[in-house]
Amino acid sequence: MTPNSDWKDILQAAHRDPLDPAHYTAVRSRVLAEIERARSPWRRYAWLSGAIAATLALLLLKWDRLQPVNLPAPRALTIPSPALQPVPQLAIAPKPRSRPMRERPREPLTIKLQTEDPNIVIYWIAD
Amino acid sequence: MKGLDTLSIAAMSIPAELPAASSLLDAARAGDLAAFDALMRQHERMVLVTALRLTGSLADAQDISQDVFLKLYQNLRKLDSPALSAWLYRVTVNACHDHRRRRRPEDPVDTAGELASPAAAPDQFLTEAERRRVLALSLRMLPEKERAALVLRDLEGLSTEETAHILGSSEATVRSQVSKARVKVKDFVERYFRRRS
Repeated sequence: MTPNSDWKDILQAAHRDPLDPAHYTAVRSRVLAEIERARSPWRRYAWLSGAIAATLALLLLKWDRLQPVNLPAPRALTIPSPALQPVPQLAIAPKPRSRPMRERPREPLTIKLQTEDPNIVIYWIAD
Repeated sequence: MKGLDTLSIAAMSIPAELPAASSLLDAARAGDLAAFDALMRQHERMVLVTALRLTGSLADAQDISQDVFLKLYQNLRKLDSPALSAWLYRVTVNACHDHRRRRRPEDPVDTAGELASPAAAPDQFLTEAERRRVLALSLRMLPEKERAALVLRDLEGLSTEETAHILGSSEATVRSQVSKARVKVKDFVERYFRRRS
């Protein structure tokens, strides 16, 4: 390189300047780490949001079952009734009334228990 | 100055979108982080090197690249594959401008000769490290807009039309900015060598 051409050569050669690959790797690592860090809060609470969603779904399902079911109003069916026939009058003799039964006075129940000793007899009177 | 237009800078073509870029974009949109990683790999050189040339600091360029790719992730649904490179360049340039405004003003670089290595022999060719240093310093002394125009046009190899589209200005403005920037870089490098010899 001579002083007269140096400024051109410097510009020309500058484009070919290799940079240490470690510098690029450092940048990429920092970017990916930053992205992961920004993503992680969502992942951390993903289970919580899932649980909330499941609970809400269950509550909605239960609430839905408790609601009165709005069924369509039943249709009124008109069934033609058969023509009424005149019933023949039957002459039934009235049944004679039976007399009420008179209660007889109840006698007390007496149970006689004999023991081995012929002189001892037990009477058990149930009232 | 005309000489630079005829330079055969083979590597300066705009990075073409790979055939898989579209499918990668679709997969990344669907939440595939591996696809997004592959998408970053396709564009990482473009973003990091542009940011490095605009800020002059590797640490700042890495911070800016990180912001650019996070913005890409947030805007995946709005972007389509053909417009991706232009979008990334535009976001990178804007992020560098914002970054520069947030920081305190840089020390002015008035005397290029003071920056030359005192140990270097006058007839010695530029070493790689010194060449990079001269380039970084010459870019650093340029105004913000001229620097962005020169980086995109001459270092990234974009056309004047593409550069104008990215910077949001007219082609005539870009031509003027690039022309002024080239004169300043040339002047800087010549002063550097004069001081050295």
